[in-house]
Amino acid sequence: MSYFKNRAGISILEIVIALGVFLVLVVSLASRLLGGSALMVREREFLLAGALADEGLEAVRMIARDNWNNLTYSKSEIGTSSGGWILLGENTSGQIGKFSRQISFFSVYRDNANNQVAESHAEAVLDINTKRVVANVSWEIENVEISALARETILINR
Amino acid sequence: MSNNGFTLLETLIYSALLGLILFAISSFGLLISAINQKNFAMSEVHNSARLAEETISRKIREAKSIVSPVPGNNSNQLVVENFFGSTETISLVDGIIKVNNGQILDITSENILISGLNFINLGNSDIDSIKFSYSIAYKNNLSVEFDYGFDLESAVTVR
Repeated sequence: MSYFKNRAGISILEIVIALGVFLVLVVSLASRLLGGSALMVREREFLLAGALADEGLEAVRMIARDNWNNLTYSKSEIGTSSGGWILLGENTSGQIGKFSRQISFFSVYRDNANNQVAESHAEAVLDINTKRVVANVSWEIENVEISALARETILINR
Repeated sequence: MSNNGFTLLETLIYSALLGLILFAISSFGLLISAINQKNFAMSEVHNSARLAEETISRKIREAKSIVSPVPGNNSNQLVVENFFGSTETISLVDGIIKVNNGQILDITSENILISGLNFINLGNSDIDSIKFSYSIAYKNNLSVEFDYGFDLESAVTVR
């Protein structure tokens, strides 16, 4: 019986400290899990946006190989007509679900050694048989934040 | 022996508090379990979607020619002639994307349900350009936490 007589109860301070430790663990675990879910959603969006950007670049590759002179725009969206890919026109952009897509075309300049250089380079000469193509895909997250992804390729007239 | 036992009121209060704490802990445990299941399903779907897209893209990119669909047509299966001169078929069998090159290989797992696999040849008589699309979802027989899926589209032009 002396065992029970000498045992003190748990003080309020101990309970508060124990609850505090418990809450910290719970909140950190919950935020980690919820953060993981948010990352998963972001992963899906980048996966889909990447696929759409690839589609844009591959469509332009087809259009360029069909006829290099089709690449007349600086910015355009792709579309289909008569069973083939087409560029929809200057400054057009496409909406595929929540994703907005536009393909940009850039001139390529080369120096005397045939290396790509900036337009401002002293030896820069326009290479009319090469284009740098960038597919830009952007989308809104919960109608507020805008995310974007860009993929690019170099096309050569052959 | 000066210690008294708990009164009925104290016992009721302690029981109620214990019940509340146990309820909160079990609810939190269930929530964690649900989020874990959802994350697992999402991860599985993303990995399969990425693998399927990469496999289909690579088969088209490295193809010598596209046997089916021919330009201007669409089909639920893709037949390519590879650089060794043999044909490979990508098709949907019981919700699984399979590649048949003499051997049948599964591209997606049995946990994943693919539907609406479609290939459109937007090329011409000289060059093939394949637009492909499919819907992907977690094959769910268990709970709503596993409900997850989306549609994916992309395209590849034969090199």
